[in-house]
Amino acid sequence: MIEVQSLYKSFGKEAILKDVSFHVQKGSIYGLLGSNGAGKTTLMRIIAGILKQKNGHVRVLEEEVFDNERIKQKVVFLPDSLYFLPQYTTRQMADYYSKMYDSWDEERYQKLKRLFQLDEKRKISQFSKGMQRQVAFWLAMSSMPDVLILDEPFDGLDAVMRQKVRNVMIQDVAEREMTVLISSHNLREVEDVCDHVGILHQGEILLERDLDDLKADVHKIQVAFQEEAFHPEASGLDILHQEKRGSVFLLIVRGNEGDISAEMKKHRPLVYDRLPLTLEEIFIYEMGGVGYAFENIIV
Amino acid sequence: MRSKTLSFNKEIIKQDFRNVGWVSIVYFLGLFFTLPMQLFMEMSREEPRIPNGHGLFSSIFTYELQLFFLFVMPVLMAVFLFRYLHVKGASDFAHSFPMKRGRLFNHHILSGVILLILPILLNYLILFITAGVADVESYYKVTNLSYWLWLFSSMTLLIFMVGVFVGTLTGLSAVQGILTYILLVLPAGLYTLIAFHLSSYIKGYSGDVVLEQSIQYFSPLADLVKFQRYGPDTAEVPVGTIPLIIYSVVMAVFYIASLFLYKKRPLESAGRALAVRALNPVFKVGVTFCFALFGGMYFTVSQYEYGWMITGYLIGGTVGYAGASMLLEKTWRIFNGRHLKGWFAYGAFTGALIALIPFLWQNYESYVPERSEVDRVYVSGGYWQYQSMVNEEMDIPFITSPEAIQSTIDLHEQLIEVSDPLEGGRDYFFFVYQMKDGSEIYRQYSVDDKEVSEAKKAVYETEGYKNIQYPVLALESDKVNQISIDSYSGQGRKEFYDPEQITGFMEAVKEDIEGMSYEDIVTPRGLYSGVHFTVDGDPDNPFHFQLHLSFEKTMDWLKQEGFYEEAMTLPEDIHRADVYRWPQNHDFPHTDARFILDRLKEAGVEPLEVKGNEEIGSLMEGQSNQEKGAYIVAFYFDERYSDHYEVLSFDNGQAPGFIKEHFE
Repeated sequence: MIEVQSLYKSFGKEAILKDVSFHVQKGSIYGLLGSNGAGKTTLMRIIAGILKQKNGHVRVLEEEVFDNERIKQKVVFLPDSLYFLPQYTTRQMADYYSKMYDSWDEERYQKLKRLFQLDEKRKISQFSKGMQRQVAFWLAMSSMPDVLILDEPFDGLDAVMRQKVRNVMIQDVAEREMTVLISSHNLREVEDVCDHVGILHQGEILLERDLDDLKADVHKIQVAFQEEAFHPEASGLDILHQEKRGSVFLLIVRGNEGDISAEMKKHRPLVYDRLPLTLEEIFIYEMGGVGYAFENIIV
Repeated sequence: MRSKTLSFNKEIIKQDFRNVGWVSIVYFLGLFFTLPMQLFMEMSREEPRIPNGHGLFSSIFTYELQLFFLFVMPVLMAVFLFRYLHVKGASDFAHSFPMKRGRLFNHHILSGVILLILPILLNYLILFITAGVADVESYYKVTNLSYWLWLFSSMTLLIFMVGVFVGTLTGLSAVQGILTYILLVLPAGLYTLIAFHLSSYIKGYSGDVVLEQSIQYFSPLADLVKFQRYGPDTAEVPVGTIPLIIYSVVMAVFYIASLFLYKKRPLESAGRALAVRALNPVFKVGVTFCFALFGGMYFTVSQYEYGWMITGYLIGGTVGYAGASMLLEKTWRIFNGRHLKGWFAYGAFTGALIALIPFLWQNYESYVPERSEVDRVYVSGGYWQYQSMVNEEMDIPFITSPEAIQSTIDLHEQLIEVSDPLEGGRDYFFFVYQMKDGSEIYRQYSVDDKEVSEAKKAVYETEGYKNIQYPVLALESDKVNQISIDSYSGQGRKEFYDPEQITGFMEAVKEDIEGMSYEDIVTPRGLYSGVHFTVDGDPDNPFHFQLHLSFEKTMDWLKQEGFYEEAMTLPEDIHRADVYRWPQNHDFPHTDARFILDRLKEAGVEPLEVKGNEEIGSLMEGQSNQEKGAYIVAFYFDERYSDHYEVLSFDNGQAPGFIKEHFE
């Protein structure tokens, strides 16, 4: 659906993106995480077909996207700083969008009007920042895109609206297999929306994960043994992190849950608990080994 | 979906109208008030002004105001229409839609063209309908109106497309506006600057010739402004049909270049001075160079010294370099090593260029045509005299005799030796050689005339030169309706119409001129009278000349006819004459008698005051235009007007006895 291969982009002499590759499948919601200045916005502008990369390939719906009218018909991009035509009302913007996108769905527009409860005859510039973001979603969703690209989409939305927007989006993903690419500097913000995440740091993708796999794959366990015979290193488990408090071990282990508990049972533990693990922790432990100060990246 | 790709999107046009419709409305109103409204006002006057034959381009229709709108509105249109390109949010917005860049560009161009042509067309229609219902023949004809429509449409679109082109090149709207005008006058400006500097470096190079003959081809704005609405028989329309067609071609070139640039333009350049990074150094060097030339010209014009010229380059170049760097980096804090290095590199390069130019032009400087190759030659005291004859399509009195051509070539050779383009002098020489192969060679020099007086004398005494200096030699007496002679004092005036008298006068004058010596030409004797002719009913002609006492045959003729008392200044017309001794040991910046007289008066030197008619009569034999001598005489014609005086001077030998006695 979206395929980025060894992408390189620079502004003047300053390289913004160096060798970025990743892949977003049809019908998935992909979270692109990164700190400020990581190159998220630039990457999204390239995927939306606005900027042209210097090297590498950016394919959306199997075609190079830059200045590709046919592909861009199916792609809607919502930038982080919103822009509306000056002095325009939502209705006028809707007319503009409807002439731009062949797939514009007026019925959908009317339906969403009831959901957002905004006055379509009012000038958009008079709306608050949060309301403007709703207008942008409203217009984007009414254009019925196959690919939706959202740059920091939840800025300025309150919890209720955020939920509404998320529901509309997920509905489209479920019903018509819309593909969504969301960027954020905050993991917690996208944790409950995305099924895949990629982390962009200093112009490179550090890692890419399927969240469901990740959650099934990394475990936090607490064990205590009678004898002092247990050595985590010798156990043959893929241990990402360990701590020892008295006789209690706190371990972050990667691997199949069944295998881990079988291994533990061999040592006949006094205590064997599985503890809940947040996505953030998973990342921190995964990355910790690589030596990055991960907290700084996602916060 | 395919069909939609090809069709045009009216929402974009609609949005453009909402955005820049006001420019169109202002343009309409501007033209409406300068054209139809002026016409209605004029027609309702009780005493309408007489139109001058330029129709809608005349002063009745305030051509200057029309030009103002023509220059300003298309640029505003280009700036505001493509404003979105220069704002990051707007640019991302516009280009995130499924529309190819070229198609989007064409939509905006279409809006711009419609919005600019509409006001012109509406005014055209108003004037067209008015012509149908009222009698406006004396103000404009329909052909003139159609030409107006064509001219305004072409020029509007040309200026608009230049604005669009600059817009695609830059990332700042303010820079777009300024650069558009710079680009519109740049060729002409550069041409002026370069011609000026070449004239200061290269002996014989005449910047005036180059500029006068072709400056309008280098800028559409100059072309439009140069239109003379006053005076007869100049062009009827500001821009001819062929230039208009050329402008349309240029416009098309700008359109294609803009479209190409628009497609290639990196959108992230919104907000940067230049969108195409490769142009940054070109821009910087260009601005620096132009500023340096301008600085050099400024200081040269005011100081005429080589040192000041270099100072001008330094100051101008530095200002230009700093300005361009500031603009490109959008900060005034540009004072760092990198820029200093660039500045030095530029300085070294141009320094080398300045040193090299004279070598490159050495052939030009030292070139003197071979006599055998010259068909004919024109020489005079300046380029303008020649140009005015060309403008008025007169027969130019070229020198054709081989001896005279040789004398001219000799003079030319001497001038090359003594002239210094930057020093200059009071005496100007302008040469036009027409070669046998059909080519023309122009040269211009200015020197102090003492240095070349021998060679100059040889040329001046030729018949050919006299034909140039005295066009009256070529005037046939049967074409003359009237001759008037005004004495210098302003008290006498003689007019005569009789063909016989006219013939007699002209024969005497021609004989005198043909026999004139160099001294008589350069430093004629006495107080002259102005002679004017009416030829074929036209009093405006170049045949007038100054009649001096040295025209002896003419003086005899005047006396014989009894015209002398009215035509020439008599001792009785002079209230008094002041005689000063010419100071010998002073170093004055100028050496002409009038300048020195003024210094003497300032210094309060006591003159010898002469009032007797006989004495004054003898003083009137003095010479004018001398640069050295023994005595200076100032003649006052009326005691109430001490500013109206004429100056003659005497060498020691020729001075009347009574002044010699007085001063000894």
